[in-house]
Amino acid sequence: MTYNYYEIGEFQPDGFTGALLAGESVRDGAVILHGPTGCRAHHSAMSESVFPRDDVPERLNFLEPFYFGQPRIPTTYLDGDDFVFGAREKLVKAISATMKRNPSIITIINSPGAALIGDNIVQAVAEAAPSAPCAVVDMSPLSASLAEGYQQGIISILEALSPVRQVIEPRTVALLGLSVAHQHWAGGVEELRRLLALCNIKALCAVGAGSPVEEYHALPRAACYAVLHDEYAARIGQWLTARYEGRLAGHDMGAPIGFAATAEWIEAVAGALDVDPAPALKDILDERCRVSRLIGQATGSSASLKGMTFAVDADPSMAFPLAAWLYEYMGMLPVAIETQGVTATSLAVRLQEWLTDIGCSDVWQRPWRAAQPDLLLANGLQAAQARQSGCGGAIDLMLPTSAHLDIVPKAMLGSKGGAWLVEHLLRELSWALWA
Amino acid sequence: MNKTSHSEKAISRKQIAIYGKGGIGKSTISANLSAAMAIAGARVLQIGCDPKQDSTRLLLEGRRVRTVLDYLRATSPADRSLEPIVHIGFAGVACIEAGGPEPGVGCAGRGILSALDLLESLGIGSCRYDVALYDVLGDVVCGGFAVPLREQYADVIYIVTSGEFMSLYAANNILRGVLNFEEKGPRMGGLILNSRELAHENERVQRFADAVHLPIVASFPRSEEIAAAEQLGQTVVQSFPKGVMAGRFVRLAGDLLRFVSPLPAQPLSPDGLESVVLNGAIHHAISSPFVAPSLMQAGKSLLNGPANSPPARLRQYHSKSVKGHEVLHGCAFNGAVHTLTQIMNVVTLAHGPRSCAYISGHGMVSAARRANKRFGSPLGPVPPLVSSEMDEGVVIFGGNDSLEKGIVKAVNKNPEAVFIVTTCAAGIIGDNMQAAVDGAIRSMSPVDTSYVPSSPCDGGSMLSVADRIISIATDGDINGDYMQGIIDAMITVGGRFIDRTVKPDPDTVNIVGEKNLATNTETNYISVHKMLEALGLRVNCRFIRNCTLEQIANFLKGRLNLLASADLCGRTCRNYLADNFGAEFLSAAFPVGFKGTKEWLTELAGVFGKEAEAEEIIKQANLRYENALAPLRPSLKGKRLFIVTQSYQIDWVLDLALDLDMEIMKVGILQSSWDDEFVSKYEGRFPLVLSYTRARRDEEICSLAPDLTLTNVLWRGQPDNLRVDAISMVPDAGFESGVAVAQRWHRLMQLPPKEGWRHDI
Repeated sequence: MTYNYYEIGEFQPDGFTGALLAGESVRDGAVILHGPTGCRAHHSAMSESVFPRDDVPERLNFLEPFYFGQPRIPTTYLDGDDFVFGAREKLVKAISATMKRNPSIITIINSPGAALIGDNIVQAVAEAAPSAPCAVVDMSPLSASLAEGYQQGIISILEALSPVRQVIEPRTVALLGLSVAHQHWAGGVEELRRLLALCNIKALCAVGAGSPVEEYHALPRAACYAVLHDEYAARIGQWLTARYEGRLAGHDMGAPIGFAATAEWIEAVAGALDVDPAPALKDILDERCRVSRLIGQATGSSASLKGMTFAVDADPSMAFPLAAWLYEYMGMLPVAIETQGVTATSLAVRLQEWLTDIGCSDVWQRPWRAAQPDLLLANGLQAAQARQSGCGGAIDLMLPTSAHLDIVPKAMLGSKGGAWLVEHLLRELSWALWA
Repeated sequence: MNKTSHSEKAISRKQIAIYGKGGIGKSTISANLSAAMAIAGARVLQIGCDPKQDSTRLLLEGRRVRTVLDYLRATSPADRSLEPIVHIGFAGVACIEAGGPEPGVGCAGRGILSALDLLESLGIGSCRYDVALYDVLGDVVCGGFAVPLREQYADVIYIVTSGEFMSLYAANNILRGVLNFEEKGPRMGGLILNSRELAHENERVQRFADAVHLPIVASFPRSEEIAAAEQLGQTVVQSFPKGVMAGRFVRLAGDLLRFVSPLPAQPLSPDGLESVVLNGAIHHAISSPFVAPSLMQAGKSLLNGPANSPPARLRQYHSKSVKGHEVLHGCAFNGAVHTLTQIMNVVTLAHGPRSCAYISGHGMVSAARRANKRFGSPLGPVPPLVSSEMDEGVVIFGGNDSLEKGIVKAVNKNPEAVFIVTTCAAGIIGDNMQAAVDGAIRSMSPVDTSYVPSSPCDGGSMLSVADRIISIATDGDINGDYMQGIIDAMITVGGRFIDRTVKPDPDTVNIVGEKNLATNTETNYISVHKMLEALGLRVNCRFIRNCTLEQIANFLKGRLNLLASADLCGRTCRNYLADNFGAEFLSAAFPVGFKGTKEWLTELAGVFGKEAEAEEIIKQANLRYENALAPLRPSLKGKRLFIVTQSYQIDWVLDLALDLDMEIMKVGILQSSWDDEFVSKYEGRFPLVLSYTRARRDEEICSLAPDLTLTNVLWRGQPDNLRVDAISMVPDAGFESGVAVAQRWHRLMQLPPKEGWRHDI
């Protein structure tokens, strides 16, 4: 019998997971999952993994009902009866229990099944927590991308908080389009804040990336919404610019990943604010020179990474700058580029054109398994599979599969992110340098 | 609260909902009111919220129009606009039909919600209508049909009723629905009497109106004018503008446009409704009217019988939560998927949103990775799981199309069988799995579907693909929790594939009920397997773990069955196999520690006449055990042990402690969702408290001051100078496992009770 190998792609998270993580991205917020416990455990563990918070002194304090031993994402534990008769009372009790932890905002997200029973969430909130801001996601974009659900969740939060229009503050930005699902997101925020601060630009809020509610209320003061990952920012950007005075800015090759893309991103943001980017550019150049010397030392005189191959499976905002950086900076050749099914956005089109320009049009949307790359850059599950299947090396870009805590803060974005990528690249491919 | 303002989301300046029992004349009245308001100069939008799609027919000269939900299904998000779904009718009234699924499939209520969401997202609010009129299907049968009651939609609600009891019953139900949506203030406008010319009809409706404290804002008698206008596909306002009926509608339209003081909904109790409205006259003529809640269930049972679900008679095998009607832990879908994906060369199709397959698949991969990291267990192939990728549209219109595609996708992977497992979303919309299986098979070529060429469990017979597509209606957690899913999967697979004609082989055993997500499952199997090998015994089938359909078919070759875990899940599987296949089991489950393993091995050897081999194995193990424990005793002897655990099988810990001459101070058993039967051979020898609590632990740990506390869940703020250690819920099997634990306790005694970092908290 022919037994086809099953692709790990069957296990991609969808918009439901995205909406839950969006709610969890607010530092002082709480998410209630209105749904069965089967939807809870994985997301609760994922939240603890990607955004550790110091709120677990005793897991036995977080038991039934609602928590089931995990402190994040309490759940209304719907059962068969609830799907027929509704579960508003459970929701009221869950809201009351959650309010005891004093969240600054509650985000209530219907599970796919709960969305069908149509409980009146607004009324439940009015009864249990009339004074608390509450965002509601009635129906997540099922089987759609994580990014789509993430944006829906964030927009619900923005609608619930409804920040008041304020006078624009010069030299201020809000970071847009980073999620807690992205690798080392917290370090990335810090790194970009640092680079912007070198130009005397202040980041007022990192939307969807760890900011507390207070920082969301500062959003209307931002002169610029600095886009990182377009897939996680487009709809949120529309929402913001329709209501407030800030303007969108970002680099047309995607996120600030790698030195060149970071420099261009800084220039774009500084340009939008009419600010001199020179101090940040110098910092990036200094780091680039430092890393360059170390690459030379690591590769030595008898081996080189040049000519090795790589594959990327990621959103275009990551795939494009990574591919360009590995090709131009590291001298590696793309053999497979997949973009999570996103093929029609302007960024995806530019990436496809760029691949054509460098003579690699055949790698567009080619599965990495078919290409046998030396290095795969993809989400945690894919990377784990690549390591298992004998791929030379793999780097997690999103949702790492192991709960590794970052004791020392790390970044994938900015100039520090460039250094992190080089370090991991050299470690993953060190076998090739011992020739 | 969501602070988005009402005005920002409102579709028009004034929003009116017309509710009433199906067939009572809502659409006729709504259309005539819209027409009358438009003639009066208002910009009017009428939205039909009824799957039968005829609300605006009289405004559109009888024309049927494209509905919002049909448009939503057929059009990609980027291409959507209002023009194709807003149809201009008489006097410029803008007409929209929400539409809905075919009767018997999908969730029409959910459809209403999606239709109104789409209108909102397409900017219907910016069209600046003066009035929006929602014509909503009869009873508020589920949350979806109550959507127009939500605050951003109707700000005043009218109920159309006749004097018939069921019409008033529906009106009362609608009032109950409205009551649930009055958090921002009263919403009722009144009743509209559409007379059937029944005896005492007006009095009956008036009694009801008085009882619920609402006015009858208009009465419409039977009218030839209305019938004649309907024949023309028009409203009377259009056909007979000077007629009596048109005049009544014009007056009512004016009243409704001017109305500013809504009243609260004050529905009657069922008894009150009967006594007030009927005055007892036909009390016995109405059988129990409260059938609405079971509608969905009844529909499901009639229409959606799964193709091959476990027969009802087998459902006596229940998980703890299902049996006790307790809070459900996890969902049956997940438990079934984690079991079925252990069968090699089959595909499991998760019918539901992609997130469900993701959660299940990620759980399996993560467990395998943990086992690989900890024990070097092989990662194995990616679990053979595919998703039907149900989206919001499928949720509204039913998921049979996506299920059919999923079945084709699964069958095209050429497996020996396909298992369909349903999620709660699939369960609620009630997809007809058998129809989807039939449809999928019809869509495949005869060559693909005539037979499965390599199915070793058939004994050479050729089974069709249809016979090998097996569905399990877990319906997410509608049919139970995680453990129930494991049980249902075992019952389905066993019932479908175990060949009752197979005779047992000598010296052959089966393993039953291994924990598929535990990190030490493979190492425990290896430990047991080594002992079996030493006795000259062979493993026939691991039910259900890394096995083939052929092994399952030949399950009865196993002379004896070895239960991996004696918890409720394991016991239930054992009972099923014993009851239905006469399977014989060893009395004890996989052994942990020296004493347990000695007893287990002795019993096992007795069954197969291998006593001598067992005696030799035990003798050598005993020597190793004593040699290992001897250096540990000095530091552990007399040490006082306090155990707080959710595990219901802890004799191995007690054996070990006693062998080390430790003192067992107290055992507290916390509640567990996984078991309901604590059994210990040591019961009565130590203070034992069932239903123990965390709070009691906090009290007693200080007063008892044990040298070592054992628990399943460590906590940060443990008391100073007291040692706490974790014990596993799924302990390692075999002679050596206790030794490893004792060595750890010994090391703990050498270390300071509390690590330095704990002082920094």
